[in-house]
Amino acid sequence: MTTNASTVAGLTRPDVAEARRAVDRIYGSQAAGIWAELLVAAGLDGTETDPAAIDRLLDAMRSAAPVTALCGEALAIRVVSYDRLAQAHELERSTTS
Amino acid sequence: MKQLTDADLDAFASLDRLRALAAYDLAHPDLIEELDAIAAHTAEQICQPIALTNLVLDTATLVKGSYGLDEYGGAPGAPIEWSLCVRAVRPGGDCVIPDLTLDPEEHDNPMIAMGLRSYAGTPLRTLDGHVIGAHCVLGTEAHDFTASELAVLRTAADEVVTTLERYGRD
Repeated sequence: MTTNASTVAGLTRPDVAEARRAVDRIYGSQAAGIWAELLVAAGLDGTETDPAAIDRLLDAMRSAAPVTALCGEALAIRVVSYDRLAQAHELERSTTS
Repeated sequence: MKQLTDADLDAFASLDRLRALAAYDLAHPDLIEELDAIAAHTAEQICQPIALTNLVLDTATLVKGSYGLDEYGGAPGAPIEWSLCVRAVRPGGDCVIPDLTLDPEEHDNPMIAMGLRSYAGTPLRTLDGHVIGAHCVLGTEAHDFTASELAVLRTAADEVVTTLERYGRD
């Protein structure tokens, strides 16, 4: 299992850029307009990299049209999974050091 | 960890497939209660501690209806890279993994650290032919699933799809 500062079991914590890639993959040529609407709804410009930005974006996605909401749900599951496993690994490191 | 290709990721992110999933009222409490009951029946019939319905979204799986999962953290789902049900959905056929620790694609899966050891899943196919997820059982010991156990799983998967169809948004 690979573990470093940003990757846990092959998973990187989702950010705004990953959300953009997910929207692009689903919607193809329609993605740009949908993405622009999501950024407006979340109050973002799309260049943010902080964890608070993805939280706001996921809120906007889950309030959007049903397919976008499912995409947001999937990203939220990835965030929770990453955080839980990263926390477990951190705890393991602290108890063995 | 299993390697997913761009073709796999494109298939999971298919707009038509996701529209098929989004056509169901997945948050309806009665739906979840019914899927919980199906999972409990599956677990009882196959004598395994965990059974669940996993819907495969574009980048993660979403648990909808489960039995025995709370003791293992009660996760709402899993990234598709970690998901075992992806292996039933990707080819659209049954997937049996008698021992996760010996499986080339899953031997380093984080689910093993949670105590999970064996898996059997069968795909959920809508009336329109979309494969939207899988119904599965998980064990804490290595287990060779029998043909009759897989038949139970397939019957339950049909029941899951029938149940989902009753919760269409239209």
